[in-house]
Amino acid sequence: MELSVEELVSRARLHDADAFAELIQRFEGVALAVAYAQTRNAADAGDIVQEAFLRAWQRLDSLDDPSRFAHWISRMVRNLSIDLRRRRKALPLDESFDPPDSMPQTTSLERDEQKKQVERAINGLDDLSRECVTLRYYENMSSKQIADLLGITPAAVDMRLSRARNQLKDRLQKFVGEV
Amino acid sequence: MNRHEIEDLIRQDLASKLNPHRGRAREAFDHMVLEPMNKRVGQDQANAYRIRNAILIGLLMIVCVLIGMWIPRLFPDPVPEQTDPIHQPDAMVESVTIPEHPERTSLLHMVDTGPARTDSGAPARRIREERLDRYQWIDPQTGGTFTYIEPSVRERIVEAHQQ
Repeated sequence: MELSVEELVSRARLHDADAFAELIQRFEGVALAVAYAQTRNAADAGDIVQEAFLRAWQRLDSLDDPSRFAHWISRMVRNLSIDLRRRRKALPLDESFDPPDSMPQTTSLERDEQKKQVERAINGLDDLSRECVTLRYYENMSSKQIADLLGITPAAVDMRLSRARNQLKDRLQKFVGEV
Repeated sequence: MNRHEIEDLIRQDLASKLNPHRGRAREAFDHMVLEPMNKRVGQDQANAYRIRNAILIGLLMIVCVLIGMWIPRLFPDPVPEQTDPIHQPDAMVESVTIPEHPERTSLLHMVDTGPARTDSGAPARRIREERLDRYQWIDPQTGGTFTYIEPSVRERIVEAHQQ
């Protein structure tokens, strides 16, 4: 039987490492999505998520409402991302920061360029919209779930997602037109 | 390009970037937290094993001692056949009345053992007196003769006379 988040948190608070490992399993995707939305760099997102979960393990007692673990870890990820951005000064908004070897080597130039357009379109969004996009399309979260996590309304989530899709559509159509 | 195509592109893009980093948090947690915990648990188990062994050895020793104490009770030595006690005559205890003035003979042997000084510092000789006092009397009731010999030795300082 699958344990609830509250039960897992309660057990983890009693130093049950397996329970916390289960929490990582469940919320790593959400944390990665939030971290990537903030940093726009997958490797940095991985580092931040790693750090956030280790901190969470040490600070579980400060979590007031165990059912809000996802919200809590997301906030921690967001704060760590902001710290990283401050340390690196301002990140350019429309550039990819992933190293070239993270791109598939076997794809055609056209597909490579298409991927870059997608990436640029996502990077061109504001932080909140980018979080909506990554949570929806990486974690398949509903508008309500995203709204709960981000503290906005589901309608606002839908609006931001729609705007993001249009932006991407424009970019890709321009690209197709150029090709 | 329709909405589904765009969504697929976004999904593929995010998955290709983020999936390689999935599992890193778990690995880090295992490495930083679980491994030291398991190591500690292993040490705890080893300590518990040692303590358990010590307790078992102690208990074994106690059991051995108890068995050692109980075996003589379980298998007592054969009781020797009861025989009538041998009646031995009671020790001769007779009152002997020592007369008030027994016959006393004393032998005195004096040996000059060398020079000495008196308490006042005057020259003296150290004399050893070897004495043998012999008391003898006859019990008027039995007519038996009793002899008691008391040896004694003492030393004394005798001031030397100026010549």
